[in-house]
Amino acid sequence: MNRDQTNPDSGLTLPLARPGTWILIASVLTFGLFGLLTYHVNVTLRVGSELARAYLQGEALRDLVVEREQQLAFAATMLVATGDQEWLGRYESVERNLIASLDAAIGAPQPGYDTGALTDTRDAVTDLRRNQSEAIQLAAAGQVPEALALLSGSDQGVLADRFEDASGRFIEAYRVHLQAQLVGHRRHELRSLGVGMAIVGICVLMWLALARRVRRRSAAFEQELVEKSRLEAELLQAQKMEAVGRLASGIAHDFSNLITAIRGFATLARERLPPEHPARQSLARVEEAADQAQGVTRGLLTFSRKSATEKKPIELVAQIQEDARWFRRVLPGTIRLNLDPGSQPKVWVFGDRGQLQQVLLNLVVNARDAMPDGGEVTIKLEAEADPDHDHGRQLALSVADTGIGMDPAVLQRAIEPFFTTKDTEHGTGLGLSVVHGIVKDHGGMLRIDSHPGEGTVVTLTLPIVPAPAATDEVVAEEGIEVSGSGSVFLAQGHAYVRDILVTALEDAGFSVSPVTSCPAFRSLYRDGELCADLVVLDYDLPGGCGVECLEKIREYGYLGPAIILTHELSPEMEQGLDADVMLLRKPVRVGDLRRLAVALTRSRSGGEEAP
Amino acid sequence: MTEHIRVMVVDDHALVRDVLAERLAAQPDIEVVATASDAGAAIHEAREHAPHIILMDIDMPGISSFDAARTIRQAAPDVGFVFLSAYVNDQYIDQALEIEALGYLSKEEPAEVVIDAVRRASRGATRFSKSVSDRIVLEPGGVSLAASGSSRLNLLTPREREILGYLAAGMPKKQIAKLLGISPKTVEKHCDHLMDKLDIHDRVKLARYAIREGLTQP
Repeated sequence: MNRDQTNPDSGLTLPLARPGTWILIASVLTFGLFGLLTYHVNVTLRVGSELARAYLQGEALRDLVVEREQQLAFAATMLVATGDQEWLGRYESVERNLIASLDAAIGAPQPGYDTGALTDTRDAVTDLRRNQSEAIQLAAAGQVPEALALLSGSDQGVLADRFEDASGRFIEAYRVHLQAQLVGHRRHELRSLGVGMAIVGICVLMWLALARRVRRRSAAFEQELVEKSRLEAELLQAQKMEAVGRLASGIAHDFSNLITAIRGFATLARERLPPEHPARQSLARVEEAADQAQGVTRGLLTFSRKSATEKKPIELVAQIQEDARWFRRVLPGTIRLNLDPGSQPKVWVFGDRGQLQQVLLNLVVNARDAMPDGGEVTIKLEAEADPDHDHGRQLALSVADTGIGMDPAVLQRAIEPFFTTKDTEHGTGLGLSVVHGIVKDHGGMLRIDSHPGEGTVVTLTLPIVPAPAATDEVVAEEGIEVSGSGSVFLAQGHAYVRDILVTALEDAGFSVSPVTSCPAFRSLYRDGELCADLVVLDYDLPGGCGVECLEKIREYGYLGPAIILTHELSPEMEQGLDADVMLLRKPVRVGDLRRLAVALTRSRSGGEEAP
Repeated sequence: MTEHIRVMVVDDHALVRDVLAERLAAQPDIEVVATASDAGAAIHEAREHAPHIILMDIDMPGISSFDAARTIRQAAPDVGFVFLSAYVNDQYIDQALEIEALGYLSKEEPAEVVIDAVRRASRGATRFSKSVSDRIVLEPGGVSLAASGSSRLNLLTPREREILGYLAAGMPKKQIAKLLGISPKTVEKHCDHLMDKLDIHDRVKLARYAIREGLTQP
C-alpha cells in the first residue's frame, strides 16, 4: 500500500490524499469561485441596466402616447375654437404620429408589453378621435358652442378616463413584468451565491484538511527522524561495542596464546629437571599462575564473545554473580560494588545474555561516572508481582548509586539518544538509550529515580519465565558433566561417525568396542570375553539390520539395554521390541546419546533409581 | 620398533607453536617433523615432510586452515587433522566436520589432551572438546552441527510423543493404555523411555515441557 495515500487514523486509502493534488484542487476551486462571482456581478449589472432601460422605454412610450393624446385634444379644441386650419394640420400630424406609435408598439411589442392594454389605449384614442372629428365637423358647420361642449362634455371625459386607464394599465403591467424578471434574476443569483458559498466551504474544508494533514505528516516525519536518530545511535553504539568486543577478544586471544606458551615451557622445564631439583617447585607455581591467568582470559573471551542476538532462558542470578567481577574492573577503588541477589536463589528470564550484560555494564559505567569522588553501586534483584498479568511475576533489577543524581530536567531527557551531561570525551549520550532499547526489546520497562545529591536508581523490569525443564542448550552450556562406566559395544558402519561416537562414549567413561558391521558385532559378542553393559547399534548396518543383530545377541544371552539409531521410525518398528531397547531417530546429538547411555547403564546397575 | 607418529604443528604464534612442538616431541611415540606459521606454509611443509597428523590452529592470518586442509588432503588422503582454536565457533565446527577432522580442541584444553588427540588421530580415532562434541549431531548420512534451538523432542518416537501428550494432560497410564489399545506395561515402557530421553523424571515438569513444546494446551 502506498504510504502517501494512507490515512494514518483509519488505515483507509484516500483517492485524493496527495498534498499536491489537494493544493491543485483547492486552487482550481478558489479561482473558479472568483471567476463565477465576477461573472455573476457582470450579469447582474447587465441585467439591471437592461431592465432599467426597458422600463424607461416603456415609460417613454406611455408618456409619448399621453403627450400626443393631450396635443391631439389641444389641437382639436384650438381648431374648433379658432377655426384656424393650421390647427387642423397639426391635429392630423399628431393623430398620425399617435396612431403610428401605438400600432408600432402593438405590431412589434417588446417582451413584457401588455398588448391588450395597448389595444385598449388605441381604442380609447380612436373613440376620442371620433368624438373630436364630430366636434370639428360641428365647428365647421358653425356650431362652435356645441362643438366645444362635445369636446368638454362628459362623454369626452369618460373617453379620456378610458385612455388614461388603458395607458396606466400598460405601464403598470410592464412594470410588474420587469419586476418579475428582476425577482427571477435575484433568485438565480441567490442560487449562484449558494453554490459559490458551498464551493467556498469546500475550499475552506479542504485547506483545513490539508493543513491538518501537513501537520500530521510533519509530526510523523519528526518522529521518524527521532526514531532514525535513535536507531543510528544504537547501531553506532552496537558497532562500538562490537569493536571493543573484538579488541578485547583479540587481546585475550593473544594473551591466551602467551600463557599457553608460558605454561607449556614451564611444564617442559619442570619435566626435564631431576625430581629433587629445587626449581621444580617454582616451575609448578609458574604453571599454577599460568592456569589462573588462563581462567581470566577465558572469562574475558566469554564476556566479549561475538554472537548474534539469541534469546533463550537465562538464569540471571548466576549470570550477574559471574559478571560482577567484570563490573568491578570498570570501577575504581573508591567505588564499592554491592550485589543483592534477593531472596530467590534462581530467577529465569528470556533474553539475550550478551545484551543483558551490556545493559548492566552501561548502568554500572553510568553509576561510576556519577560518583567521581567514590561511593557505592548496588545491583539488586527482586522478584515481584507483574501488574500487567494476573498470575505473572516479573524481575525488578536495579542499579543504584550514591552519586550526584539528576535534576528533573536532566531526568526527563535521560534516555534521549545523544543526551549527555558528560563531556564529549567521556560520554556519547547513548548508554541509557541503548539500555532502554534493549529492555523494551525484552518486553520490559525502564524506570529511573533520581534526585540531585541523593544518587540515582535505574530499575528495569523483565518478565520472569519458568525454569526450563532440562533445556538442551542450557544443560550443554552449563557443562553439566555426565559420566558412566562399563563396556559399550558399538556397531556403526560409517567410519567417521563411529570414531566420533567412540570418543564421546569414552569421554563419558565407557570402554568402547567398536565394530563396522552386523556380522562383526555378532562375533564380537559371541567370541568376546568382555560382557557388554550397553549396546549401541545403527539400524542400517552393513550385513544386516540392527534389530536382527540385537535379536541375535539376545539369543547369545545378552540381556542388557540397547540403543538403536535409526533414520526412519514407525510404530511398527517399536512393536516387538523389549522394554530395554530404546529407538532413537536421527538426527541425534552426540551429547544426548552420551547422556542416555549413562542413564541406561546407571539404571541397570542400580546406581540411580529408575523413574 | 613401532613407527613414530609424524606430526606437523601449524600456529601463527611462534611461542605456542614452539611449546606445542616441544611438548609433542618430548613424547616417545611422537616425532614433530615440521612446523609452519600459517596455512599456506603448511601446504608446502606437508608436501615436503609427509606428516601423519597435522595439528593446526584455525585462527591464523592468510588462507583459511580448512582450505589448506582440503588442499593437503587432495595430495595425501590419509593425513589426519586435529584443529585447535581459541573459539568454539559454529562455522569452524561445521567446516571441521565437513572435512572429517579427527579432532577439534579448544585451546583451553591442557597439553595432555592435545597429545592424546594426536595419538588417537594416529589410530584414526577422534577427540573433540566436550563443548564441541555436545553440539555434534548424528545424521542419517554422517554428522553435522546441531541446529540452534533443536529440541530433545526430536528424540521421541511418534508413540512416545503421543503418550507424552496424554501424560501432560494428566491422564492415568491405565487410561492411556486403554485409549491406545496397548498394554499398561507397554505404556510404562514408553514412559520410561521418554523420560530418559528428555531427562525429565517428574510428571509436573513433563507437563510443563509438553506445554512449552506445544504438545498439549495449558
